[in-house]
Amino acid sequence: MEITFASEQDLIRRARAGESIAFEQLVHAFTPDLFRVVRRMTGNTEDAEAVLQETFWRVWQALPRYQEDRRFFPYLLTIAANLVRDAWRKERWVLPGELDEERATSTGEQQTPEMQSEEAELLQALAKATEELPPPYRAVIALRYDAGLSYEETASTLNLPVNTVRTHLRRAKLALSNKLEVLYGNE
Amino acid sequence: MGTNDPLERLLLRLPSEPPTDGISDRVLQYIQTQRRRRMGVQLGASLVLAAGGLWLSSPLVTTLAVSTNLSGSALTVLTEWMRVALAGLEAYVNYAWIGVSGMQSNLAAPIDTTVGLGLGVLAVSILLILGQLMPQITGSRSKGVKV
Repeated sequence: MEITFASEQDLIRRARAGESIAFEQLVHAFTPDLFRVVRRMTGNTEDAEAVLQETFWRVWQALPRYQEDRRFFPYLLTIAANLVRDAWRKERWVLPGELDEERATSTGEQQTPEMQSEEAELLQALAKATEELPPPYRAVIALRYDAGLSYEETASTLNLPVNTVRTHLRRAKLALSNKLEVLYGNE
Repeated sequence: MGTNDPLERLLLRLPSEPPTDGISDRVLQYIQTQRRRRMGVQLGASLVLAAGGLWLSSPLVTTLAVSTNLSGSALTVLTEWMRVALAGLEAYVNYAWIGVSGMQSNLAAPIDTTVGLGLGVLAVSILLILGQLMPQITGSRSKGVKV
């Protein structure tokens, strides 16, 4: 994040006072980080950009009611995550059934990648595999690893119980392990 | 975020697609468009209500002015009434708009042109219904008035 908490709060105060330049600075400052997380959540650039636009528009509308001293980035993430979840609902997306965790755990243990020699390739493969995960798992991955949120913050952002977040994350990682196994098993 | 899990270590370093060129500018452009749209809806609603208010108030005020024997200054009274009515309507519309906007949480759907048009049509309908009743009201009140 290129912007300090003090300067972020200053920009918000000025934006609330009607200084449009201040709001523009907020948009410019937070767009790259927000895009990275939302892009991971949505799985494609067009949807990510649409979510970003709507997120900032809603922030602009809600500026008069913005709680001072609240961190801006988690606030943005909460709005963006809710927009993404609304999109999932429209697509009538449903959670897949329980994974066979026992099987997944055992295969995951067998498939620890050789990071020294194939790291770049592995990371690309992992990024692609992440895009193929069910949306809620992608969201948890994005918030936890791209945004660096704790379990509690991730749960709060997604309005889910912490245990559900932990479960989503565990299943997401198991699914990723399986996907990597398939990819590297063919070579 | 320290971790011993190799998969987690990889996830922490996942490559991400960089933002497309000019994305911030497009975000700002989108906000501008939305603001203009909202202002358009607000202005449209104000005009409909103001016009309706004038239309409604003019026969009533004319009748009142005549019935209170203010025929000489009826036009002045009517003009003043309209000015006050317009100011009141404008204040009401602004208040109503703030109320509606205030209901918009971060997650609620934004009020768009369709909703604005719907509100406008509703307002016109109410005015038309009142307009049907107005001659009866003013007619009953002006009974016996000598001009």
